[in-house]
Amino acid sequence: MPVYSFTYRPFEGKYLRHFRWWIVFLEEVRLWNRSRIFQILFLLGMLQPLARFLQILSYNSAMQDPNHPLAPLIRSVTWLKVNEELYYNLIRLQAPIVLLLLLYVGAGTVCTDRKNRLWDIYFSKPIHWYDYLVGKLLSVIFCGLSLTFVPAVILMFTDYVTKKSSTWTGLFSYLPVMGDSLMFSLVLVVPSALAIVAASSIFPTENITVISVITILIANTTLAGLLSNFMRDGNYMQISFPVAIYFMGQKIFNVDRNIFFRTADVSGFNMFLYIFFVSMLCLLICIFQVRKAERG
Amino acid sequence: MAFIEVENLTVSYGETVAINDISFQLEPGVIGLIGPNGAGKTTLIRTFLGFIRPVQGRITISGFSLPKEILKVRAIVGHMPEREVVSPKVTAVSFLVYCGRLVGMSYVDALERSHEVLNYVGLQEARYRPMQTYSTGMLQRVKLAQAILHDPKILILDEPTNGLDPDGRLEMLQLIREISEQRGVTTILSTHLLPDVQNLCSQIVVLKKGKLVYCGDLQSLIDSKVNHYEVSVQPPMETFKEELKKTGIKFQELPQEVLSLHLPESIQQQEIFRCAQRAGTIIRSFVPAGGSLAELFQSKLDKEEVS
Repeated sequence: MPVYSFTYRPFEGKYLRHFRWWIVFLEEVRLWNRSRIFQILFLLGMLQPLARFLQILSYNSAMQDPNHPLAPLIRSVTWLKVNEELYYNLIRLQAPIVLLLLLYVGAGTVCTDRKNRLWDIYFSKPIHWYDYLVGKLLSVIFCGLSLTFVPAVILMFTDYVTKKSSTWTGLFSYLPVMGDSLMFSLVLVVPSALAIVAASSIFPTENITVISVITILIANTTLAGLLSNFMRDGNYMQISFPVAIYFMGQKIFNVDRNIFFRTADVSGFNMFLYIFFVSMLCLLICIFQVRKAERG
Repeated sequence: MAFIEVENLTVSYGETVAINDISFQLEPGVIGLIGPNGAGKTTLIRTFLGFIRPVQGRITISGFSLPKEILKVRAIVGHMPEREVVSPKVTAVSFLVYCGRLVGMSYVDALERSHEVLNYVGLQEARYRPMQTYSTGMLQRVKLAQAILHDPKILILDEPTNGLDPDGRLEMLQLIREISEQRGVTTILSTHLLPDVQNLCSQIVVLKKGKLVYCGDLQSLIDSKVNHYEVSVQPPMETFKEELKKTGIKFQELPQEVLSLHLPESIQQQEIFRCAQRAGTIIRSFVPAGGSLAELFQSKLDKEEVS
């Protein structure tokens, strides 16, 4: 006797009416979480946080034990110091792998559904275009934050725990750096996620989306380089989106480090406006494309 | 109030008018939506689902007006789209669970219901396979399964038998018949296959070039055609024709000395025999003409062409 008889019976359960975007979010996370490529990229992305974890462990143990054999060496190496800059460097150096991962999970979010004509089915269910879009965007942003902000918070907690003198009130001293890390992570992840999802909503396939995003990034940076050479002003480099994001990170963490351009006379607010404008443009593209599918 | 009410509906894609000022009312049952390519069938379905905003007009489905209460309408509607839909790397069960959750079911309910419905549409073992391995027929079944998953009040099926082999087509029609008859689900069936409509539907909506050609009861349309007969009489036929003219019966000459007669509603068929008697001739054959939906459909379209 089969478990279910071959009849069509009425549904007697209850319908939940709220947070449909959460369902879309969970489904996206479930889908990319099962992919082998995602798992490999994610593990690669966790290598740096692991190295930072060891750095914090060794630094704190050496600093608190004057007789530690490695103490003089660790004290003398400035980049081994555990301070705010560690978290800035952590997030900054995560950028390439975060971009790769976001491209992997984000490139197919919208175009795959459109290509496979799944919109006809999804939007015949009681969801709005914004439930769909918010779920998709949040899943990509969550993926990015899981390699930037989340490891930073774990490292802060590790630092707090391994400092033997710490009191529980000492946790509050991490709030500013936690805020900075969140800000920089968001500045890095949100515009990238928006750009990738916007590209995904325009282009027909995942591959074309990835190629387009990379091409636009290269073209944007090349244009910035050409302009800065032609105008003999390094500040034009900030037209490059990756450079703008790095610059915002420096402003957030109050780190003054010239990478390959002059930053002295550009305000953080202007840079923020630039990133905000590009992000809003991408968001508008996403909204236009998805809304059109749901409402015609 | 009718179950589905459409009033002065006009839908256009830019300059192109896809549906031109149509009005009709439909009662619960199985409704056939027929018309030639480009008639506006899919546009009408997409308008019912809120995918397209009408330029003007009013639509009410089960008391909910569109597009204001579109979410309420979508909650009671199951839609099986025309085009092939596939979520390649996902199993049919996972796909249906996701669809169920989008409708608002809890995970447990959606999972249980997905298994039931996939069993019901005949995808017992295959439900655990990724959908990219499915045949066209299996994908059609998945589309039907996701449409009936949440026990909808209205089922909108756009070309449900597309791409199916004859056996698959019969099974699909059987499933549709069962769902609509046993569960009382109002079904809108858009198809080119008129025998399917004739077998399943109680009401039909005929569209042509965005205009409404006919809307109403299918049986009464077929019955009205019983006033059409093909008659052959012993020659000469001239006096018989004159008698027919005098009585007010319209006729048309067909090959092999057959007359196609169309009786107005006020005249009974016995009048034909009386005409023959008065003309002094004998009726050799007397056959009710037409009656198939294809002929009716064609005659409706032809009439529209003439007008």
